Amino acid sequence: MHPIELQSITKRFKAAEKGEEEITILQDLSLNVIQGQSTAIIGRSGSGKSTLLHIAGGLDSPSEGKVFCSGIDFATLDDRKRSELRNLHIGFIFQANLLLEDFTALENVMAPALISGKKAKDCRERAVSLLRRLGLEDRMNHVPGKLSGGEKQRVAICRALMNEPEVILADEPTGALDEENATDVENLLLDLVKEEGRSLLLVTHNQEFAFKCDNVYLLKNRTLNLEKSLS
Amino acid sequence: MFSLRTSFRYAFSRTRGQRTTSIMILVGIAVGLVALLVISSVMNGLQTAQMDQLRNLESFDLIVKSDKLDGEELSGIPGVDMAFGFLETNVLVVDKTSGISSSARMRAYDGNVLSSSRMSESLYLLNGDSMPTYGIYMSYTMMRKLNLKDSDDMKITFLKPGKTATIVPYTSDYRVEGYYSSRMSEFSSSTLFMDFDSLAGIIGTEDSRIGVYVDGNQSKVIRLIQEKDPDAVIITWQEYNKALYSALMLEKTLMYVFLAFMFLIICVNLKNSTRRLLVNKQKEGAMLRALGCSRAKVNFIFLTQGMIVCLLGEILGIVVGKIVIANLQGILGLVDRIVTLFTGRATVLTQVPFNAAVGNGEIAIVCLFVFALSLLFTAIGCRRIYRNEIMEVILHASY
Repeated sequence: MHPIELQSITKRFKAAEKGEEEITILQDLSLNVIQGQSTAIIGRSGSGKSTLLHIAGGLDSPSEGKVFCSGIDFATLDDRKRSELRNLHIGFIFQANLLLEDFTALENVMAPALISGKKAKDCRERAVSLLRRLGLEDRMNHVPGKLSGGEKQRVAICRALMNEPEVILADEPTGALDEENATDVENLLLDLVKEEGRSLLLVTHNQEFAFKCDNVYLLKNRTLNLEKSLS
Repeated sequence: MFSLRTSFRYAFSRTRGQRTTSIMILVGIAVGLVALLVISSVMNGLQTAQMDQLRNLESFDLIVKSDKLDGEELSGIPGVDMAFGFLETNVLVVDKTSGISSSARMRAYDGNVLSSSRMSESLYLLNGDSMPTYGIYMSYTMMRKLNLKDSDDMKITFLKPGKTATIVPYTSDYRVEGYYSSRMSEFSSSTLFMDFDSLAGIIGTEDSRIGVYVDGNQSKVIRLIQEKDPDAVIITWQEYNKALYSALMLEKTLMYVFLAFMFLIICVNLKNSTRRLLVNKQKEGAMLRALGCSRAKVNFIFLTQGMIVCLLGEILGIVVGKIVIANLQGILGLVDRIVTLFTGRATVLTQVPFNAAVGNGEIAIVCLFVFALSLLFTAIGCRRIYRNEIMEVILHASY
């Protein structure tokens, strides 16, 4: 059983105007995210990488095909159950770090655990330890507005790992960072995922970053082509 | 708990002036509530005082017209505090010295009613015994109206049943035997008292009625009177003062309606603030979904932030309202002093001649109304979240 399993996924978008045809962005595409391995998807802008990632995380539904998360078909779940599954099994990192502006870095990291109903006292320790590992112990009580881009993205990584999910889905996590910060974040993310024994599904333009992963796929012409495989 | 905390943070978010807007809405709700509670308490006090005066002086609790019963018999009924016969007729009063005249109402009680506790709550005898014996009891208001002095004589013309005609005028000279004052100016300026037997000697006792003060259950007393005399005509104080009672109720209702408009304006602001918050926070809303919040939970967060502002406004409004009501006399005195300081003239606001009070039930109804209105308008402000697919925001943000 894979943390994420995509089976024959097709995604079509409705035409913006009447008379226009539907746009097929993904066509009969399958992918398994293997436990403990990192997988990168590269491709041009607009090729459907983010859409694929959202489908894999249950944030969007495919037009055809099935998505399994820890062996459970997303399509069989209602919104509440699907959200619970996402909360406990998947960690998200986005390009625009999307931290909660009115919460401190520590509270942002604790958010997924609090959403799952854990007590603040119980999850505080793990959140502090994650922030320490990423060198943010002095910035824990700062709101995102007071953090740099690199710091914000590191907070987002901690948040994604907070609930000890099986898989991390990262959408251009270094896209908005300068080169130095980007390299730092790349290394931190890959090291943490390895250390914690999680799987990673990464979507990026950055080929250098992508090829640091165990498996690399190229999304082209609506399908995935394997570029690199650990095996 | 996380949802509530997030709602609170969103309601008072420092970003894009949300905190200032929420505080202004909160203060608006509080001020509106204070205004509503204070006005309501003053009107309640006025209404209660007015009704007490009416019940004590004008109409008693019950007025009974019966051929079989008298005051003494009714006094024995359980729940009756006091019952007494009384006569009432219209008269014309003329001051013999100045020639000034005025129509008035002559009343006579069968018994020592003027000194009873219920009557003395509203009517103060300033000079004279508990009941007139040879002359007339008149209010100062009426004396001023007729330009009467202590020693002046007056002529009073009664209409009494005649031998051939239905009614005939009867005029006699009287002197003022005692003075009284009451808080009901309409009563004081139109009512004279005289000895029951003397008035009965002039107009007869056919129109005699019994005034009843009730200290128990009014409906039960009415039932017991009807059991004793099924033909008795009983008029309650509510029926007797129906016009005034309805006018007071209408006044209060209209006041509520006008103040409700104020809350409507505040709630429109709440709706706009929610809509703006939603636009500012839509990425965060989508992020919350990605973190594991269900659609219902995200909706709850945005809806609850409006309710938090409303609830805090209500709590502030109730606390300040209660403090203002408890210190109304002092506040009006202060306002009077300030006005006097600037204008050199005293205002009429120095004292409220009754106890301003508002019931908890009334507060609860007002708060529920404001809460429901806020909920409705916040929900309207949240419509965008129901209509749009919030996750698209993240998709577009990623590109």
